[in-house]
Amino acid sequence: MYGEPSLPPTGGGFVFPIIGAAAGGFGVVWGVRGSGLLLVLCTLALVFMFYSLFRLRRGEKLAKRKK
Amino acid sequence: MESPHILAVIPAHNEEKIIGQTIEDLLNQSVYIGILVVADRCTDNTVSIVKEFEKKTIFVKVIETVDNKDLRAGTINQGIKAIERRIKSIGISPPDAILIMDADTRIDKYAVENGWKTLNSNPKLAAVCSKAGVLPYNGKNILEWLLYRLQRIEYSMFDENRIETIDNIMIAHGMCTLHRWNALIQIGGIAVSILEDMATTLKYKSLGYKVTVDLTMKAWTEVPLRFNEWWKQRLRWNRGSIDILRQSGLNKVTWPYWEQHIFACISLILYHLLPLAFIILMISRGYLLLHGYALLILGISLLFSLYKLKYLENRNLLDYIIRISILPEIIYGYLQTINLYQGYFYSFTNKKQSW
Repeated sequence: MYGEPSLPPTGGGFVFPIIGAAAGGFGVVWGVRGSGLLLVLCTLALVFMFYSLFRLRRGEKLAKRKK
Repeated sequence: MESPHILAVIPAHNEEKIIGQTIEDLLNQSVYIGILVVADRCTDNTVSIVKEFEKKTIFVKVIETVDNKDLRAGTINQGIKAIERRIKSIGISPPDAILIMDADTRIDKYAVENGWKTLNSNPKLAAVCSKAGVLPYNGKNILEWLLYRLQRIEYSMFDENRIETIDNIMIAHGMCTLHRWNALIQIGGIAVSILEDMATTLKYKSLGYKVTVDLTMKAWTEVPLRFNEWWKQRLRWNRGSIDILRQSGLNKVTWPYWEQHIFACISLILYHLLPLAFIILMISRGYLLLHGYALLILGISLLFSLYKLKYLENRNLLDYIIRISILPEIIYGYLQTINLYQGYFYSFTNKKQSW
């Protein structure tokens, strides 16, 4: 196939919260400074994830309407 | 539906193994379409195979490129010029749309009809691209198989991403796209670039057109199965997109593309730092206990990741295992990251590359 700039990391926005939550979650238990902030960032990523889901559903509806 | 006048332009470079099947697919479409194969410096039997079809049906024609220095874009543009010359010489009406697809792409029987329905639904649409499916892998090499499986998932993510941005997708890919004839002529044909589909999409957008995807317009392609081929393809994509953006500058049309790069760079840093921090901490603390809230985020993210597999055709348990185990896709993402870095480096140092 020609052309689809695939900007890494792939994973459609869910990879960061997975890695982040794992690192942050262990970090909080271990008492590592900054882990709480990481979990806050992951929560933000979660919000983006739901936004992505919303756009996906909207796209699906628009695609059906075109027909 | 009134029968549309659609022509398919197929750029071909040494495609003797697959070109016959591609023409058959196009001849078997649910709507009649003319097929123009543009043979570019073929040294195999591609031209003679297409000529056999020419003898059997008036719907197939073949021409050969002359002094083509612009790779795939140049090949397609010579085909478009030939169509324009024919329109002028015979005085026939121009086609409604042009289907541009790779010679090694397989296409569903209703793909053109479905694509045309979408293109015809909105005059502001310049192009409709197909679903980006992947042809089955029949080999037995475990590494090839793994690379294949990961690309298969990745291509479904491309489709998923296009649905998210359905009003105005980032790229109407070169694998199989239906272009509105007038719009294509208005931008002067396919843009000359190593990533000509992205450059063409940007040209459409700069004129106020929109591009979209139609997932019922089904097409499938082969993916590179050897690591070095995959690497070269991705370098072309990454380098090509950076080159185009640098040439186009920052404006209303290119901003979403720049935004993608900015987000990629931020996430690349996180990608590298987080697992490293995690490993160091794990070694230093020596035990694993996950905070409850983190577990919740992890759970939701994993569920979301599984949901996104819905665009993967013929998915099976193995795809879910690959997704849920995370690691294969993370390693794949790392490789892409390094490739992207190389793309940045080559672009900003203006390194000359042959494709």
